[in-house]
Amino acid sequence: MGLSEADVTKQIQQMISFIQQEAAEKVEEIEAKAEEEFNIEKSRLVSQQRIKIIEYYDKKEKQIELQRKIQHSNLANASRLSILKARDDYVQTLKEEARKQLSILAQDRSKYTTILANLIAQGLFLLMEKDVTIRCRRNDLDLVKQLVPDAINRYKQELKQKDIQVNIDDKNFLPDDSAGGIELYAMGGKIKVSNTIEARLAMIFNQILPEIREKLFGVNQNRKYHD
Amino acid sequence: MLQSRGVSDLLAAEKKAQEIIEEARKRKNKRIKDAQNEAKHEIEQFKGERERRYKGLEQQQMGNRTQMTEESNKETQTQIAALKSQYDTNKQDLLQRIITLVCDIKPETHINARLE
Repeated sequence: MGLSEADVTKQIQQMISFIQQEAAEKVEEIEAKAEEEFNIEKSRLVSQQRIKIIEYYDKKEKQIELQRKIQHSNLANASRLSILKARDDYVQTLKEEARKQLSILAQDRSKYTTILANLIAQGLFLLMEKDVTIRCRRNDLDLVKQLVPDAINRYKQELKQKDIQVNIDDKNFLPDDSAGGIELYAMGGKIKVSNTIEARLAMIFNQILPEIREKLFGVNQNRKYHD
Repeated sequence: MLQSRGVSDLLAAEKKAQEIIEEARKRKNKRIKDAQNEAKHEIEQFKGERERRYKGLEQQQMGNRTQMTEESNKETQTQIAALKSQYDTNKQDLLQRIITLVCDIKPETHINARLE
């Protein structure tokens, strides 16, 4: 009764085949999944790190660019400064040259006499004081003594009623190496007028500085208004 | 008797099946672990590239640096030299003007004092 031996064997064989087939399919499935997950995991890790690396190097490359800009700016500044310094040096040189030439001028007797006379008169007009003391260089003492009476006359002429007394300081003098001119004092030395050649040079030099700068350095391109 | 032999064959097949599935699973896990190593390798390569690129730029910048400095200095010197020639050209005229102005002295009474 029942199945023959051959049938049983056959059936068992079929079942074994089925088991093997199922196993093979399962393995295939597992392997496919393995590949898939391998790729996913690898991509994930790679792109994660890539982002960090890119960020890092982008920042560093920006730094380089920044350094370049900073250096460029520093160079421009340094250049500007040295040019400005050079300009200022030339202006000072000019002033010194002028001072030297004026010193020499003081030795031209006739010119110097006129100048000194005018300086004295100008000083008196400016002060309008009753009691004035004049201080000059030691070498100019005689010349000044000569010129004072004329100056007083001019003063009295222009200012009609003003009376004036002028003393010449023979104890204190202007330094011998000064370019000349006089200082005038009033009110016991409390009021001082510095009418020396050097003082005039300083004043005039400052006043015409714009002109000097324009002649030496050209018109300023950055300047907008000229009036 | 026959049955027990058939059954044991089946059991053996079943066992074998489990074994190969288990092995496949082990391989799968190893494969996933490999992903880490391979990823690391790829990343190192990428990093190396970027590093090289960066170093290249750095070198370039150092080169530019010296060049920029030289150019700037040269330009500055040129301008300063131009200053000198401007000065020499205009010096005499300016000195003349200054001296004329200094010597041009006009003693004048104060405008408010004159009405006396």
